Amino acid sequence: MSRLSRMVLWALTIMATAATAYAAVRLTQRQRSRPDAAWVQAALTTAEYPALRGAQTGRVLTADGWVAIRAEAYHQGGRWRYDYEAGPCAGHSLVLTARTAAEPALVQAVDHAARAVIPAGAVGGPQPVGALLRNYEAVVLGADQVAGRSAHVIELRSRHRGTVAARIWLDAQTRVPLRTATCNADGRLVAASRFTTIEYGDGPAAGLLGAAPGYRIIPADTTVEHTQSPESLQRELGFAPVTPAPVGDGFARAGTYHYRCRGGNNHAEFRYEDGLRTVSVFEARRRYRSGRGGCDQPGRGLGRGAGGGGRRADQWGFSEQDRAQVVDWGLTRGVRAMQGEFRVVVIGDLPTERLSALAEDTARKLESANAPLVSVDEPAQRGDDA
Amino acid sequence: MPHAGDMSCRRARGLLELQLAELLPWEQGAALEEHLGACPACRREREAQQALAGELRLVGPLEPPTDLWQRVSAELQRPPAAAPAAPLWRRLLAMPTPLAATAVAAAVALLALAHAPRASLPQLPLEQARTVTADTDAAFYAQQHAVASWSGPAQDQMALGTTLVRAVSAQEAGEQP
Repeated sequence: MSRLSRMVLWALTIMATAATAYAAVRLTQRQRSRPDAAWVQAALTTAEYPALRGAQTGRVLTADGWVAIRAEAYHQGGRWRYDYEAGPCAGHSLVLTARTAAEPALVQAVDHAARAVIPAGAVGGPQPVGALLRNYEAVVLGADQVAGRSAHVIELRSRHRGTVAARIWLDAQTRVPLRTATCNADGRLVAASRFTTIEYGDGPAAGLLGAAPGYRIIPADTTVEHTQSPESLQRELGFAPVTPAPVGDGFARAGTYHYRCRGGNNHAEFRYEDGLRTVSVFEARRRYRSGRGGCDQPGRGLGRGAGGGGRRADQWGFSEQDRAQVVDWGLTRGVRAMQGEFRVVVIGDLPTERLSALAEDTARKLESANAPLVSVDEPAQRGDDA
Repeated sequence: MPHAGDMSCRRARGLLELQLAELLPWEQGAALEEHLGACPACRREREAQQALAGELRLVGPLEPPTDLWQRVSAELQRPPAAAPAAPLWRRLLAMPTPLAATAVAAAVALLALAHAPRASLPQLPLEQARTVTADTDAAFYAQQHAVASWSGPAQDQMALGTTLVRAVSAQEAGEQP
């Protein structure tokens, strides 16, 4: 070996030593910056962020396929506002309080073209963090940069199905979710969004998170009440509701709700949560009132083309010809089952087979538990509209 | 509206490493190219890194010298006492080639680990939209479920909002149950 070759080798060795030291320092720093379990737990349950404003883009799977969305986002004092600029919601805003805040989450949609505010509802207390961490494993995947901010990448994996439920990029300093990838029960991506810009300490203009001046508020036609008493629920509904079979691994009952619709027909909802996902089981009696408005006017559909020719959809958008039907809104899916006078709709992120089994089983039990009241072919013959 | 021109030079230098390792996602690559188009300093940095990478590739695998065994054998047969006291720098230069190669390999591996792309996460499979009949849009239930699904930071609020806004818009249009 020539002297020159040896000198080159020696130089390489020195460089390698320096590089090794440098790499060791980098790795140590990265290891130190990894969030611990307490940080992750706090980040997954917090709703307290500094005031911010930014721009978000994303894609979401809808019944129309994948659509791109873009919105200006604001946050201050636990309240968020999204001004949708592109996508199916362009021209609308959404104002909501995070569910993990002390107050129940409130959701309002704003239609700027119609200068109208539509209250969308409210939900109860926060998802219990114990359930989230009991049913999902939070794995720190590493670090990344989003909108110029350092973020920890957390992946939530279902402990029951082994599938990825979500990936969240949390701001390393503020814990704000900067980027989110949401998967369905099969572990397949159904929504992804990210901040492209974000500025802290610069909240929305005064009044942006409150009632818009000059906008009319469209009153809700359906009121919802949280109830715990089966007796009171049965009294309101006019039929005996049935507690559904166990929804799935990790899901626990989060509440029972009673929807009082304008037309008089009422619905029960049994709501189940596993700390991240929600499954809703709606139960109702089919009682048609021809010539009157309200919940059960037949043929008055909600969807596009509803009430038209061919496979006419009912007021819930489901085709009456099908005894059991699956619908898929992309981000979530639902199953409707009909059994005699009763209709059961199950919506949630469960495998379709499980949704179908749940809906059909509940509908069968409903029919068994209640005596026939009125034939759907003979509407309003029994004078029980009250 | 943000655009790739907002990328900092520091961020761009980080992405350069990924690009040279052919690990840069295409969308970040587009943003990087946009930055490079406007930043001469970062362009020079990329050229320098490309040149260095090319030189390292030219080094190629190291073959042992053909007279290696003869010299090793001669050294082994020489009595220890007769061995001349070689100066330190010569002894260092005589360090076995495999040791140097091992050190280089370890350093390269550690550097690769330290500079591993931070966003090189496994791709999540994409759900395909199923065929849905036009009349299946149970907005009322979808709306209630969307409201109920708000559960905290793990939820994509903006995406969930699309379901909700569309549902309440239907309600606003007087098509509510």
